[in-house]
Amino acid sequence: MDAQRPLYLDYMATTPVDPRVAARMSECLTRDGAFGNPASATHTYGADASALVETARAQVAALVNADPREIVWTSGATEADNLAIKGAAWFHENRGRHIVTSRTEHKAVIDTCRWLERRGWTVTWLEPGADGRVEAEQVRDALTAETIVVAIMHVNNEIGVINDIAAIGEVCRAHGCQFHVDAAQSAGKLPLDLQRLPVDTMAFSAHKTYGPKGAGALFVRREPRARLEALIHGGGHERGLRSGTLATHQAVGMGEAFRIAAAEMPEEQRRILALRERFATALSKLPGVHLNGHPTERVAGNLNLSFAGVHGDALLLALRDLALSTGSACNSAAGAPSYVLRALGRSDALANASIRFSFGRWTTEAEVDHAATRVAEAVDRLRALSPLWGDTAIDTARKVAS
Amino acid sequence: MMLDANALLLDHFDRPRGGGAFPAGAPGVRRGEAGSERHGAMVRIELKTGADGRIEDSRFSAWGCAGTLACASLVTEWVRGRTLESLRTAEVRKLAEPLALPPERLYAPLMVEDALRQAARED
Repeated sequence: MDAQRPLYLDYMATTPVDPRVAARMSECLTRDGAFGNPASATHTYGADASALVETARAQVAALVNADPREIVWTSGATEADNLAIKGAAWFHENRGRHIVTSRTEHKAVIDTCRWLERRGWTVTWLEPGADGRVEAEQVRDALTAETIVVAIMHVNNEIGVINDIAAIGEVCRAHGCQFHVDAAQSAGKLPLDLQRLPVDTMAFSAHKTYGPKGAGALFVRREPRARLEALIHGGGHERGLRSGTLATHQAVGMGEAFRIAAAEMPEEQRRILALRERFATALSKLPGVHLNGHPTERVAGNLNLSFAGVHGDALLLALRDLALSTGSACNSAAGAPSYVLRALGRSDALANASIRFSFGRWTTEAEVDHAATRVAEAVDRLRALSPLWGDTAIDTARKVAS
Repeated sequence: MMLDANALLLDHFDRPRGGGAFPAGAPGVRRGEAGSERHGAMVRIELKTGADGRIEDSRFSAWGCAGTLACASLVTEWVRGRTLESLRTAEVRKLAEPLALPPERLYAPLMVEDALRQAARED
């Protein structure tokens, strides 16, 4: 543990770059490295850079069992989501203008769909169940003859629950509309086999998987071919889907990060799951702790908890020696409760008190034990001051997270 | 979260003065409340008057941002020795200025002010 900096438990926000990744990236920057423009076909500088980018593309493809030709580099998952959804909407606009998504998607999907909604597309916003998951039947019921794309995330960024993208994909495939999946929070954490999964486009991020920020990719299926209009023009890079000189070091970093994830995922996820269970067990002694999202269908590194009678903002400040995030965006006067948790039917008070704990590659047992002790102390202290703690409504809602 | 919280705010937040409540039925205790769960913050202020009619002691309980807790803590110190009448026009906004709350947190002193004035209201 670093005594000077808060203990980092926010791996779902971002991850530190793995030193092995940083080493590979730094080989692509300076004069003695592969600094060439990967598009330069007239000399070895370009060819060397291009070879590294293609190796990285194959590494990204390998993690998800895709064809390297199906991987399009982007600046991150946000751009990949934009390309997949706007690209599909524009390509198919003469066929239909209906989109299906969920209220608990990442803002990269929600804001993109809202933008299309303002321009005449119709969007069906599915409500997840109390466990935070969107079911294939809900998607099936929402499809119309006008539906051209469905966007449902694999793992939710706040509560970590896993959607059954295989079942949702089957529904979309049967209907003949494109299915887009934001996999920013699942790549490298859950097995993904795009040879088998009926997914047409899938967004990836490097920085959630110990790679660099500013790097991402979109999987675009070749067979049956996913059809998209490009968002960015200028040079026809990436098969015309995403122009712009490729950032060799970013692609190489993402490739190395995904290579490491593929090699280490089973062991790493087992270790992280054990840490999460250790943390949850330590906190289970505390009353009035609610687990947000499905108890088992969730990614190993996530635990999203609500603490009855405690305000999330105050709890975060009381725990300022821990780097955490709250469900509340705190962007309105009294802090807006999490839109994800409200969509799950949590009361505003519980939503306000929600904290996302996320564990990762460098989290240790000692850190988890320390964090659990600190959380229990802070919750006890704030509850002693809280007019809500002890109120009947909260008392009846008390239960221990399982 | 208030990462830029100043030293005074952190002091009151970490070591709140007058946190909790007087025992139920304690003589000379008056209570005011403002905010609600639905509004995302709430506060209760209790004032205990002495034989001379002045505030002898005070307690608060609060659920809200750190600014809410710090304001309420500040108030429980400040009210001691004051008369109920003077508290009916108390301006917690001014009292809370040293906490340097950002504009989006200024609801906190207003809410504490409402609770304080209600506690001090005429019977």
